[in-house]
Amino acid sequence: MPKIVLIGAGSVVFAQKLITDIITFPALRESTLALVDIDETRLELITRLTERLKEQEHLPITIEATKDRRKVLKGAQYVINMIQVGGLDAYRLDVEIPRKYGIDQTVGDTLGPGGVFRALRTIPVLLEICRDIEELCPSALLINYTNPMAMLCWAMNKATRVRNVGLCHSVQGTARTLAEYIGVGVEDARQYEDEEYRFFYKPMPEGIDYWVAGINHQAWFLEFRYRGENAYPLLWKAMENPEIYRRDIVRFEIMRHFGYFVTESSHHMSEYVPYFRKNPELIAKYIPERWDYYEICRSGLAPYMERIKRQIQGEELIEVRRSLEYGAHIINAMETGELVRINGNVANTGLIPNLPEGCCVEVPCLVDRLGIHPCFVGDLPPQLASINRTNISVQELAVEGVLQGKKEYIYEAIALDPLTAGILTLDDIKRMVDEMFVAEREYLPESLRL
Amino acid sequence: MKVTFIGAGSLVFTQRLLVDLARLPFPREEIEVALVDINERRLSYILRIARRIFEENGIPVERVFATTDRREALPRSQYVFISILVGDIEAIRKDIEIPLRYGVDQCIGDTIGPGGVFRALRTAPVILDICRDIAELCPEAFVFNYTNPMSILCWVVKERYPDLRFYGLCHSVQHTARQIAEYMGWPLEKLEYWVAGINHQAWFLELRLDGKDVYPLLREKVEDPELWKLDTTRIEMFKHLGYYVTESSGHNSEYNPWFRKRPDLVQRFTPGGGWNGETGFILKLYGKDRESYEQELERIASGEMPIDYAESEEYGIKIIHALEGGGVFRANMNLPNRGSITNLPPQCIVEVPCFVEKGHIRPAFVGDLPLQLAALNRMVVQSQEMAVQAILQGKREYVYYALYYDPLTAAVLSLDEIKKMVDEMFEAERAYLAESWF
Repeated sequence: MPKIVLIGAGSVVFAQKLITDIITFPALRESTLALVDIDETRLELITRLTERLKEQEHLPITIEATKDRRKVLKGAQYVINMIQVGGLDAYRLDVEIPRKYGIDQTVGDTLGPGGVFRALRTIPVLLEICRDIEELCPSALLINYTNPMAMLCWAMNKATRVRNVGLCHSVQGTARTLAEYIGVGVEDARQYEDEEYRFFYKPMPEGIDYWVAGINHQAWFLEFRYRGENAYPLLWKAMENPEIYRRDIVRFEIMRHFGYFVTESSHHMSEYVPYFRKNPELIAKYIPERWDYYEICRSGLAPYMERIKRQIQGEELIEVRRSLEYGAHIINAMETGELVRINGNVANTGLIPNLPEGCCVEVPCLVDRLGIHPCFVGDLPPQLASINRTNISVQELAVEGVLQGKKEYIYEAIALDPLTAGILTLDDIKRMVDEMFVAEREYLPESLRL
Repeated sequence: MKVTFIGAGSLVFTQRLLVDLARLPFPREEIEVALVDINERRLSYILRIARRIFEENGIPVERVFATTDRREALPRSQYVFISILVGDIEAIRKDIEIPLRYGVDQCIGDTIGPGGVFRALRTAPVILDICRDIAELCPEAFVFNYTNPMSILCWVVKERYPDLRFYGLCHSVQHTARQIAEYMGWPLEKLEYWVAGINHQAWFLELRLDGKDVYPLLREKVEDPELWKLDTTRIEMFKHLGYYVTESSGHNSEYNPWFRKRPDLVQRFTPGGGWNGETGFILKLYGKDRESYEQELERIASGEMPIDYAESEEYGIKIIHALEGGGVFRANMNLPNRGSITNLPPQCIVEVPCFVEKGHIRPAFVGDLPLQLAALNRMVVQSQEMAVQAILQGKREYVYYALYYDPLTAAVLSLDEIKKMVDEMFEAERAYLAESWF
């Protein structure tokens, strides 16, 4: 039975879902789950919750908990990474400082000043985790859920020998959303009152097929089919319905002008191109409802903790239901040989020939007992590759900046960010990045401190 | 779901696939099978056997029909199997015996080298004719070729009909896995492998049992002299190059310069003969007593002998099952190298793991082969490429080039000897070849 180490197990978004996903697979019910978090309170909560789950479901799992990952990595086959370096305090700086300069990020975890600084904080820690894996469990698969996905995976592929794959729910989540837009599985969707819950748990309707490739948070539905037929015409028709259009304006506009639907959400996508967030008027027009992820995380934390406490005390049942996350499916496929197709973030080894060799691409991968096998995709339509490449240039400079300890690359990365470049002058950018370097100093590695 | 078998008189093979078709949970009433062969006698046997299999498995017998005209069978076909042999045993005899007089000693001669190249010259025009009909009558069909020489034929089709969904299937990967499991006493279903390269020369890049690399155990095992005598040239290559190769030791002995260039080497590296490398073994294989063979067919067709319903090693029907939505399936297939093996030429035909899912075949990314393996594959690929150009351009000099660069022929003969041998083969096989060569 496999040993699975969860690093950053106190993660609000992922840990509980992945743990319940794992136990829904019969072949994984005797797994050893080793929970690791440097935050004692969070670690204690997730440990007691997992123990409660074990009791509630009469599970034969083994649970270990520690603040020191080195104590549990030995013998691990899978390491799931969900860390957030600097927590909400650092995240607040990522969005608030740029906002003073007119860069209004709604998520700020992927690209731009927020994404780049998140990478600066996270890459050094992730590489230390990788060093420990190389030493203690060199054949383990590292499954990364932490953002900024592309920069982190790129850095790992460049600087370590750890087998890894980056996972996100944006591909399969968008596929479910698109199904609703074209009127497939809408009845099922109505059964879910809570929108977020629906996103994670509503099963994929029958008959939807998709082939998606690009980069994380900006991958393209190269094929979208319903019952074997191209479903794009249905999507173009859905766009004419104002009610549907209003739910996803940015992504529909991208489809209108570039021909393809993109993953993640309109909020995310609006940050990665220069067209939608240049000034408050545009933002009001294209993203009428705000969705500020930092605020959501901050205000959501206390109720989430309260709920976990109720569950630990047995006042509320822990629901056991398989989510749309790929992590547990991958482990099941590698343990049993039941093949599964996922979208994973992997090194571009010629998989998408018109994106740079070595960058991190999000492509369909098949998983068997031997591991993750990426599929060859071929050239993307040139307009899509071009958008991806603007983002990849930022990622490359940020990754090299951290790996080589070159601060100038960080300024250059942000100067090339499509949104920042659309708003600020070069010296404004310099001042903004300086301010971020100073404010986030305590979270940064020595080589990147001003 | 209409499946057409071209060369259905390839009896053992067609029967195996029909059994797989009956075994897997396809909706009975949707199965439709068309059997095509130009040999009426063989066709009537396979039709009777097919009817019997259908009857014994609850498939309406009127859902199978037979014809000698493929154009009658192809319309509406979603899946087409091609398993043909162009020319008879006499053509193959010349493939083997003429080169042998020059010292080029082949065992099978169906892949590369003088036998493989001339088999390609005979077979490619027929395959291209079939493809022309498929492109006209059922252009969306998935076509599975089981005919040799696999790589050269797939390559020619890719150049001439790039839009066809044409894949080459062979059982050499799964058969080798079974052999390794048997040598080691391992349960086959627990053995996991990752194989890539070119047809008849693909490499077991990974070999795992319960997740553990078991190559070290195999490496110990092949020190056993008794095993060495059964699978000699593959074990020799394993010892020197580090990886196990597919097909049989007899096949394998022909595709490199190491084992057959002198009589003493043939003697030393083909103990036991037969599949282990016997000179001209293919003539024995194809020259079986035809009469007793037909008597056996009659007994199966008439119901006197039971049908063997064991699951076959062939991928064909399992692939169709996955394409129809029956879950993801992994199979090694031959197809153009679009980014799969990064250190083989992009235009060549590779045999790589593919994932089959509803409506799609997705080749996996393999990456660089270990250098010493890529080097041998490239030697073979460059000879194939010249044979392909010979066929596409109809230029006789490319036939010479293909054999000038054949690893075995080049190890034995001088350039002018090779040219003389090729000329002699052209003359001897004239009846089987297009007049334009002369």
